[in-house]
Amino acid sequence: MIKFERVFKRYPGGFEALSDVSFSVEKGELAFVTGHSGAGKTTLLKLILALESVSSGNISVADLSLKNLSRRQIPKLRQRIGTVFQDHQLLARRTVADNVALPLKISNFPKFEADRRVRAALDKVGLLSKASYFPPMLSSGEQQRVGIARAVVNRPSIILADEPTGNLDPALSAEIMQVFQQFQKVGVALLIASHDISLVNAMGGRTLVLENGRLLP
Amino acid sequence: MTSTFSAPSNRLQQHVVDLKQAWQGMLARPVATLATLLAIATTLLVPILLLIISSSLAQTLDQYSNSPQLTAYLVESSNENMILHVSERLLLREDIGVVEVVPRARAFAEFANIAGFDGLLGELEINPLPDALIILALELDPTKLESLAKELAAYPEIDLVQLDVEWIKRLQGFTQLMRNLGLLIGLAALIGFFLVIANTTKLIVQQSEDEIRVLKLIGAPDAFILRPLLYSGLLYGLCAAVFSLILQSAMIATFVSLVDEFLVEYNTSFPTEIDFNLGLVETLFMLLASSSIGFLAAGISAYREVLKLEP
Repeated sequence: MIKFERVFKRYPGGFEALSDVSFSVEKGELAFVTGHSGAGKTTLLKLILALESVSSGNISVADLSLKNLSRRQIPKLRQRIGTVFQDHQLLARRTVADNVALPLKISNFPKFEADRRVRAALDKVGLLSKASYFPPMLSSGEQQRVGIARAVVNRPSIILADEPTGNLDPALSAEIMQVFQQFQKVGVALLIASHDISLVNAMGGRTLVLENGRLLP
Repeated sequence: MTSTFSAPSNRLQQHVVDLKQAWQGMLARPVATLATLLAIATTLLVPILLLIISSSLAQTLDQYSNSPQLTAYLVESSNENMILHVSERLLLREDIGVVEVVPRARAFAEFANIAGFDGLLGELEINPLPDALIILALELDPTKLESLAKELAAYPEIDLVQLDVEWIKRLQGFTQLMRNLGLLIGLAALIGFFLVIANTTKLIVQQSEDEIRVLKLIGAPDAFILRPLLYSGLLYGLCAAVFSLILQSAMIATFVSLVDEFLVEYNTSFPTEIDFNLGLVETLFMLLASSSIGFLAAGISAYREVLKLEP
């Protein structure tokens, strides 16, 4: 589902964020990307979302090569991926339910079907009772769960998560990871960037360790 | 679970939602929205008024100028036989269609009624007005009309010929000037209208920068982001046109009533044949044109601004 082939990412000024990175994540696989701050985890996720372009090498996501991706194809790529952001990226002026419904609106889902899916996604992350709240009314952990509900509501084939349990207590972290595992079981490919080694070990997925932009063997 | 990349199409419903969202966005900023609408409506008002007044006057004047009329005043010694004789001679001409006889007695009575001078005129011992013939020419060319007037003036029974179309031509020139002025001001107003909508859209995009970035991040295509903004421009254009039509109607009604009040002093009223109201087609055209300009201005502005924003 995700394939990196000798990917390099250099920024103007010569800083190399990723050097010769090659790996793949298959359908139904759970993989973690770990490493210290600045190791290149976020850059790697940004490249998958086409937020940045590779300097050399190639990335393919769900059979779509990102090398010659046109501007019009970028939204289609992002619609295929459910993304959980470290800083939640929620819309403060829209309710929790509206935030979760956004990917469905973008994909032109009928309202009744969208409502059903939103309720199911919120139920899964334990926030159905707060559907009509606005994000600033929620704790950071709750906001993170809204972000997770939004990432999974469209039933994507790939889920990316950048430190998804960073703001959650251990019990809630475990619950969220269980949600991810449920998606893994139905064939969703998951790539999670985390520096929480204990959590990574507990989940038992494949671990990709980045150090100074290089993938350790 | 499966990928829902090719989701069921529900575009019409989405357009309705976006239109509603644009409307709610306008209502959420009532003061700014009202100020914008009034600014556009008043910008449009002046050229619309000029165009309406000039085209109504032109239409009315056309009715007169298309039936050029001459008045021939007969010599003081005219009598019934002479009137009959001249009328018959005139009707034999190919360039004259109708000849109406206005005997001096009738002219005197009408004059007394219209001007309200009946008391004063009653004191006159003799009727000073001549017999007259109102001649409807079949010729529209002003030069030919003038030569017809000269020919008629040469008749021994005719004392004076007056070409009644002259003042209409002058007024037509004035209304044409008014119309051209309206078009010029209208062009400037349209540019202003376009810029106001474009700037309003720019401000909306700037206020929603964070939201647009998040939408792009989760896969919203440009069209999805632009749609509510385009509908917002369309609604601004439509509402501004409605405001402008209301203002225009109110101003015309006030103007007609003021003129009427003035004319009462002269025992007459505002001519009913002059219609200052926009017809259904013109009204629909204005609403459509205004909405389209709003849509276009919002589209160009929003596209430029949204393109700049990347997550």
